[in-house]
Amino acid sequence: MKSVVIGGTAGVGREIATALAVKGHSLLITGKDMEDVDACTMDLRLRYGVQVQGLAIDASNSTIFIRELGAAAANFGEINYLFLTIGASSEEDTGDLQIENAIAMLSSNFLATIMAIQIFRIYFSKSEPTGVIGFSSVAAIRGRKKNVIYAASKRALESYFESLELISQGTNLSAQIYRLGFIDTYQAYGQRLPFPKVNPKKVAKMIIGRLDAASGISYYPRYWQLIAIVVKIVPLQIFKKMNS
Amino acid sequence: MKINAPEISIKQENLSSFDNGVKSTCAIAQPDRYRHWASTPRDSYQISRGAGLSLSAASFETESLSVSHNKFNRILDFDSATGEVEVEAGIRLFSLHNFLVANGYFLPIQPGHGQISIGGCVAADIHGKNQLKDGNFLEQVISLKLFHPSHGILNLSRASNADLFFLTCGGYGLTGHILSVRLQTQVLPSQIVVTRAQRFPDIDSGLQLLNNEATKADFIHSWHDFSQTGKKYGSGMVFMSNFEAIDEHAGSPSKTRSVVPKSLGNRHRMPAANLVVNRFSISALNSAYKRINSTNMKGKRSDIADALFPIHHLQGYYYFLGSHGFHEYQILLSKDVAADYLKQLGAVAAELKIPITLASGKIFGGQQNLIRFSGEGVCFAVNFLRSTQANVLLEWLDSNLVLFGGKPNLIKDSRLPRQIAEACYPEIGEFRMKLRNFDSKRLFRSQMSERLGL
Repeated sequence: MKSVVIGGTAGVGREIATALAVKGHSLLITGKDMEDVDACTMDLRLRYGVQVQGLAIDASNSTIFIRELGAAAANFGEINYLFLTIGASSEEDTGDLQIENAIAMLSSNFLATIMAIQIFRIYFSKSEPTGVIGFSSVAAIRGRKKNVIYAASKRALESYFESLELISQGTNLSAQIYRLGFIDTYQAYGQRLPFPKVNPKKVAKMIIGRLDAASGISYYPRYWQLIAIVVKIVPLQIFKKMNS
Repeated sequence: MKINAPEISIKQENLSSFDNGVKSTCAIAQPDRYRHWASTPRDSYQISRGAGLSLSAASFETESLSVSHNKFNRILDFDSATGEVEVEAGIRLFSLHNFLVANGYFLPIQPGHGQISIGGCVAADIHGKNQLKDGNFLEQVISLKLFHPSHGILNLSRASNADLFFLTCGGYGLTGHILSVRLQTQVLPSQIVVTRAQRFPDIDSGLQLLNNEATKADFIHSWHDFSQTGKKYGSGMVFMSNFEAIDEHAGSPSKTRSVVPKSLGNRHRMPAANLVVNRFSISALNSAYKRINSTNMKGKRSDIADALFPIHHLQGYYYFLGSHGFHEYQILLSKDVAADYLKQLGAVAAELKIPITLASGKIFGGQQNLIRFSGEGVCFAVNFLRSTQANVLLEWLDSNLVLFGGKPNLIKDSRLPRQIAEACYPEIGEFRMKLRNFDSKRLFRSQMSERLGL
């Protein structure tokens, strides 16, 4: 089996890459910085004896991202699974984000992600199980005052995955997207959150255990599905007060 | 100094030394990318934190930012021909051990629990199972990468930045953040270790036996029963382990069991331990320990992991020591005075009605310098519970240690007074001077460094 983990050097992405290496997958992992990519690729090669290629690319610049990922994809060849664990958020994302920062955020959370899918679509194995696994957020449930562009990007990504599911009907490609709750990563470190944070290792284990599941959107932890229903049906006036 | 680190995520956490002697609410950061190191504050106090298992509060201080290395736990390089391995400082011993053993190598010098980080071992220049034969952890360190906000990333080895290399190995984290370490491992002679125990009737004969056997064993330590009085005081056993000869047992397991120890913390400890721990219960436990280990008399085969990390099977001991905490007092004494000091210790402890829960010895060799716990003599450790009476015993231990010309292990004691460290370590002034020459702001501070005035 061969898999690609975009954003595989930290958080959930790193744990997914590790879990795949344990299962013997050959890997292509990407990360923003070469030092992190080198450290992760060496660690996985040495510990698990699998083939690992690394690529340092910055998803906030979609033009360079597309060019360099395209070249790496051609070199890596046929794949089974594509994991898209990239994303970016900012405390300043409250509606007044500077244009260049807004474009970078849009690229990291949406554009680069769907471009990666476009790039790899021709490399999915025709004879073995294949899948694209994307990551949304509970922030995408409803419009909000904080993480404005982040939430909008994730909602757009969900729409793309809905389309991908339809396009892939009748093929061996599944399109799974997870709405993740609070995960215990660097981004959430030190934050006081209303619900418990989940260990990224646990998230990775769950995702790898469901690779043969059907296409569609799933929540993790699952209780977020109930919270999402409540958040959606709350009348606008009350929701505004909750957001203030 | 107020912690000023706007570019790095921080949380407040209640931290305590492993002996529960020091408790503080401290700021912690947990970087997970190399670029985060550049965001560590340039003008705020800080200190590295590995597993957080130090007995001496070496990884936190109220006004310092503790920077966790938990996410920097990767293996960066390995040469299967030479056994050289490079790892990030946050890697735990058991994780590295599992990798090395699978490749036919091991680290002979390791402390007794696999949850301890490599960075912590370098910083405290710990000793292993036979210091006389192997030396301290420094012997295994080829080079390391150190990050200091004022100096950037520095490559240190015996050939490059040698002064800073020796200041960092055994420098208790005060020179900067150790990012990675290149280590010389040894070929694993066998996956099986055979341990033989030999009984001794008193403290004098025990130390004599330990000294006689130390050069012959791969791992060796003595265990003493300090609950006994009179002539039997300090009786016990010397445990001597050697790697099994390859052809000794044709049926040796071909695959070594991988080690995944339970987490070793200080939060889950027995409440009101002082109601249970007394001379009678300790005496009963010691008798049971002797009985259990009598099977070792003829030689007990065990996995290398069990020999290197014996505390994995003794974690209940720390629960038993209670939530109020305990003292570990580990000292290095010259061989000609060790028995006298330990006999007097027993008399004072008995008079104060303080049960000694553990007493154990090793033989040390080599030269001592700066503030590392090394040199020639008998290394001896005792444990006892925290109490008002224990403070009286500690005063006696400290003042007599100076009189007997001994040295305390700085990393094992969260309350050791500055004047005792100064009286016992003649090069402590040189350590301070070298540290200030490198870091005039003295950015790296822990409760331990503040207490000892380092």
